[in-house]
Amino acid sequence: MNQLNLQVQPGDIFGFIGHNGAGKSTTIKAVVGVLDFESGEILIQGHSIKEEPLICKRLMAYMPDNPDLYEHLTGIQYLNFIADIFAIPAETRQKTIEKNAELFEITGNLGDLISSYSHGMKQKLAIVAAVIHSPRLLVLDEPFVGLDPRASATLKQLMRNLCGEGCAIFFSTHVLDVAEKLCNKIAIINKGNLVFVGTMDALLSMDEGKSLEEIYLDLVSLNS
Amino acid sequence: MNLNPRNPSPIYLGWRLAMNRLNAQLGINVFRYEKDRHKRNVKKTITVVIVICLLVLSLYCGLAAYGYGTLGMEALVPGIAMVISSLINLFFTIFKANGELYGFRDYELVLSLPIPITTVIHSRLFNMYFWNTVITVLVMAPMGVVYAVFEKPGVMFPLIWVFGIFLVCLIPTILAAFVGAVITAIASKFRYASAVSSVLGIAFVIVLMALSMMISTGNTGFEKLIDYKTGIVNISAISSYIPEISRSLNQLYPPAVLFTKAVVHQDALSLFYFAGLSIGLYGLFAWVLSTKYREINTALTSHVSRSDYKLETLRQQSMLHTLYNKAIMRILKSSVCATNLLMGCIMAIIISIALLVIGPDRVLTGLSITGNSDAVKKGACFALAGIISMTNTASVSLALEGKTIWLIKSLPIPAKTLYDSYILTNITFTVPTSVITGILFSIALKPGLVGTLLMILVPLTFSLLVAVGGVAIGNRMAYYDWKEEPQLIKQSLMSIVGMLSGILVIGICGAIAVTSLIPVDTNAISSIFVIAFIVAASILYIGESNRPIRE
Repeated sequence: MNQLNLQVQPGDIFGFIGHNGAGKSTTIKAVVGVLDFESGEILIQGHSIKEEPLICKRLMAYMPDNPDLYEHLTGIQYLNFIADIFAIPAETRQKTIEKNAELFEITGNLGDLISSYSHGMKQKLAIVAAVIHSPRLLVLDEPFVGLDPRASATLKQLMRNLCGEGCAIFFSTHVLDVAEKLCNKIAIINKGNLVFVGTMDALLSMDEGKSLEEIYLDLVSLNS
Repeated sequence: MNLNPRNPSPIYLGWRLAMNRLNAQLGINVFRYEKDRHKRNVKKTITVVIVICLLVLSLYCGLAAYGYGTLGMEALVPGIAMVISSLINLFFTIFKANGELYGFRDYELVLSLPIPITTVIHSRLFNMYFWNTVITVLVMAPMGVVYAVFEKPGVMFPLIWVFGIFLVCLIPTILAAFVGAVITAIASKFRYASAVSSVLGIAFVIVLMALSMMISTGNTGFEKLIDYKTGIVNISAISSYIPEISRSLNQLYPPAVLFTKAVVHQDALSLFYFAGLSIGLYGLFAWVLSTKYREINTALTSHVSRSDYKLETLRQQSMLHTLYNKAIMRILKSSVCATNLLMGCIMAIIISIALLVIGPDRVLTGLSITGNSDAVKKGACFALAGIISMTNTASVSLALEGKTIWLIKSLPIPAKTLYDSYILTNITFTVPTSVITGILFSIALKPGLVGTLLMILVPLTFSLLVAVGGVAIGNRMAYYDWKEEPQLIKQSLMSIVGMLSGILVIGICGAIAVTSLIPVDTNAISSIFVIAFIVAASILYIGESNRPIRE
């Protein structure tokens, strides 16, 4: 990644788009402290992910594109594990799990081993786990891949609700229709370079009448 | 309708499947195409370590045969060579068979291709046969050379021996695959199939060890041949015991009768019977398995999903507690992890129970340990520590995170807490084993009060050092992009170093304590080692706690 400069504010739903191999997942992994980076700085509410990783990680939640979860645990054991890491009191976690598991219709499956879950089910479980500690920043890598239409709609609503509560959401996606309808800010990268960053309105006003998809393809081909 | 008039033959398809599997196991493409130098170097190092271990095994077998030759017992060499290679093959294949033959990763892909099931089964069996033949060659080739030098058999011997080498591993391979099939079929009926499979696999090995021990500790009178006080062996009397030992061997492994007859008497008919028995069993097993194969794999790959969970009261635990629970479950719920990583503790318990039930003398004879009982008493605590140290879950715990490492790295988990959970997991298995087996050893060997304390303290404190050392090894050698758990557990550098370093350290300590290298009482030296283990574990723990989690 070269000269990437992004700011995600509370209440933002920030879309991060680019071709396959453009560097989206690498950037996201660096943001959440999974990958190390050579130069630059990533700050979460003023805390450096390099210098104060634990403080940063307590403030955010991450869901990868292909959630590899602990297959030897049951769904509820996994949620309890995550809740214990964030020291969520029993009563609070009970309420959050109850509400979100019901929302994604996985309550009945929480007693089953994760190894028996389908990709979509794992995705739903990972979402429920990600919001268990009410993060200030939610980082999602391709969150809509593998979700059924109802779960997809539920996730969009959940994202809007979280933003309403002051949470910031940063997510990558290839589904440009979703990005257009959901995001208030957007960043486009191509071959490791930032091509555009700004509000969705500003992007769409660059070429009025064109959809996000058309503008995106124009921008990428211009910068290739 | 035949769309392609030049459909490949089943033999060709089977060959391609087998070669594909061998390519993955040998890591040929890593050597040829991997761009990451570190990964290539790790693979090279692992390969070199494995080759050295195999050559040491081969050398040991050759030297053992030479020993029999110098004692005038060369007639026993063919039978012993066959029994050793068969037992090694059986022992290693029994745990490998489940992952290799049933429920393998590419099952869905392979079964969706136009390949007959029998071809898939033959390719899998060939893979096991190939590796077992490699072991058989390493065991039997040097022993055959030594036998030929001492016995000077007829011109047909090399031909019979080479032919035998390629036949010997067939029966143990099929037996292990059969037991594996039975275990897998039973386990597939349960929700926690892996755990059931582990328990049954371990139970089978225990029964096997008990049987072999019962046979080999039969009253042969062999111990009367050695004067333990002077160390003098009565060579002239040895020849009279050969028939008795030969009978024990044949009792342990009946097909050895045919093979020994074929080699010693150059009996073509016995060789023919042996070949018929081996190949016949192989064919029968492959046929029977092909009728049940899909059923077994369907049961294994299907999951019990009740989907009727109701949220009940949840409990909060500390971060360490929850990480510890996760690490324990990770090991216990994987049959590969449970059977391989816990083998040290299981062996220690079996040996200590055998010591108590059968008695020290017969157990030592069964384990081929000779020497004066005083030295055995003094060295027992170190031997026990060495056996228990083979259970080093801490060295692979970090690598076992595998693809889920993103969770550990993205969650606010301090490195120290993670390491503590790995150490606690390791000592959960080793510390109770040290205490229990230490007490059982003490009851059986009666080493006195101080000796009893040391019998418990030496393995216990060494277990602490091994656990902390395991974390240090794992954090320097772990890699997360492994494809197959058995390879990580059995062949990875961190696993081998984790297991062997403990044995090496305690072996040196034991040698210093038992032999008269330092003119101080054995109990005093052992006590110093206890303190040294605690100090070393503490220093290592402090140093390691500040180390970040490996990238």
